[in-house]
Amino acid sequence: MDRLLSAEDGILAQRAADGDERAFAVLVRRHGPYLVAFATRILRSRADADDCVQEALIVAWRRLPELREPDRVRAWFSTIVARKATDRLRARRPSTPIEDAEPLSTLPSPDESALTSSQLDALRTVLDDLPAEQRTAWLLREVSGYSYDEIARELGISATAVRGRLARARATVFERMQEWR
Amino acid sequence: MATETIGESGYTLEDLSEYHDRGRVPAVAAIDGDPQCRAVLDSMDRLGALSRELVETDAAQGLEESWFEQIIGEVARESRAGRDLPLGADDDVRVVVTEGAVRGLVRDAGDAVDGVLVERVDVAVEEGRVDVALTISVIYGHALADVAARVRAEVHAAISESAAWNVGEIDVTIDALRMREERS
Amino acid sequence: MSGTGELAARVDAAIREVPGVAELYFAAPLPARLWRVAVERSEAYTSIAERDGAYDVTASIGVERARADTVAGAVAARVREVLEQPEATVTVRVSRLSAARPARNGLSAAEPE
Repeated sequence: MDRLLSAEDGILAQRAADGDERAFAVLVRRHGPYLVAFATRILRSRADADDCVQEALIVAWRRLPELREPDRVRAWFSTIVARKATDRLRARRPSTPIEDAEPLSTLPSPDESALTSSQLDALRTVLDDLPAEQRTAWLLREVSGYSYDEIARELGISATAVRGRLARARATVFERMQEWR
Repeated sequence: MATETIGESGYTLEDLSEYHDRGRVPAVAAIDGDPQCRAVLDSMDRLGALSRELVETDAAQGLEESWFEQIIGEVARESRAGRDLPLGADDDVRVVVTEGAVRGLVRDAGDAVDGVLVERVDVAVEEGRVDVALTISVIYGHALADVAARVRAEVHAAISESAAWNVGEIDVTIDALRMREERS
Repeated sequence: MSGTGELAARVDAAIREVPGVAELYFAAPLPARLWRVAVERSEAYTSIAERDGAYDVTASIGVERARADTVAGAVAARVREVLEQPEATVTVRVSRLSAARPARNGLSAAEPE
């Protein structure tokens, strides 16, 4: 139905909440790519992100009647995706809270980086190299706009711990992005 | 790192990080007045913006058709139907209609009216009597009372022609006007 | 509870031929976690149970361009024919309902995808 393709999120969300699958399909096409890109940064794996967001959107379909502000459906989708992604991260790690110690990749130096010269590629690498919980705190803060309390709830830590993680993440990202320049 | 203060401000990176996250309010003169602190805060702004841009850029690549089809297929199968509403008929066969089916019928009827995009539909079926409330948006330029009347007529016809129902109230609320060409 | 594969498949096929039936849906609710499995395998839509030698059937249908009660009656009759059991208990759930006739302003209310 062509008219649905150009309808606002709020209208689509209300129709989908009432059971209109075509309206939901438009929302999925409209926001799917963003949600997968976001989940990929958290999970560092596009394949995992694909699965994660599919599950999240099926859950969202069932829970749409709960959404009180239909206009904010995209942010609402994001929160469900964030929850699913952090659950997956938690499932990957052993139960002892050790931050994953993955080897750091080296950034291409400005001279070598003829192929990957963009700042965005550099940031992507730097974020991928962050320990999972710093990376997640960063993404929830900078991309999703979560408050410290919201991040704390999501990661199961205190707001003070969030503050510390964000500061460490910022220090690392800032330093490594400076190297790139 | 944790205890190093930035510039002459006396504040640490962690302090600045939190200051940034609360939007630099209430203002702290020692931070705002210190050039190194300002440089650090500005870089936090830039890196935040760059992160958002990174996700948007990756999103622009799009996704495979099969990814969408799996979700849409599953949703169609689940078809959140709502309650079963008895349709009576004879004792030979038990017929029920789902709330979702009635809502869909009403939604389609409303959509069929020129300029109308239905938003919400609520239905109540009690002893063969169907009451309906619709919220719709209309394209700017149509006479609203006229549109509402036509929606009522279409919904009435759709319901009474689908089953041996009595049509009760049909409440039409127009809550939005749309311009002819909406966002892409 | 779904019926034995072949019988349920025949019932599904028969229901699809009833005028006014646009599609079939799963009659039994799928457990959420099995959705992936359901995508890959094909399971019968209509659910057929047996109770004291008599069949108890539930079919979930989409009705298009016809009256819901008429179609439901026709579906029940057809199901009993296929099962060769006039006393079978049949429940028909109408899960989608498209307008019985095109809208007056000439547009079809149920636009084909």
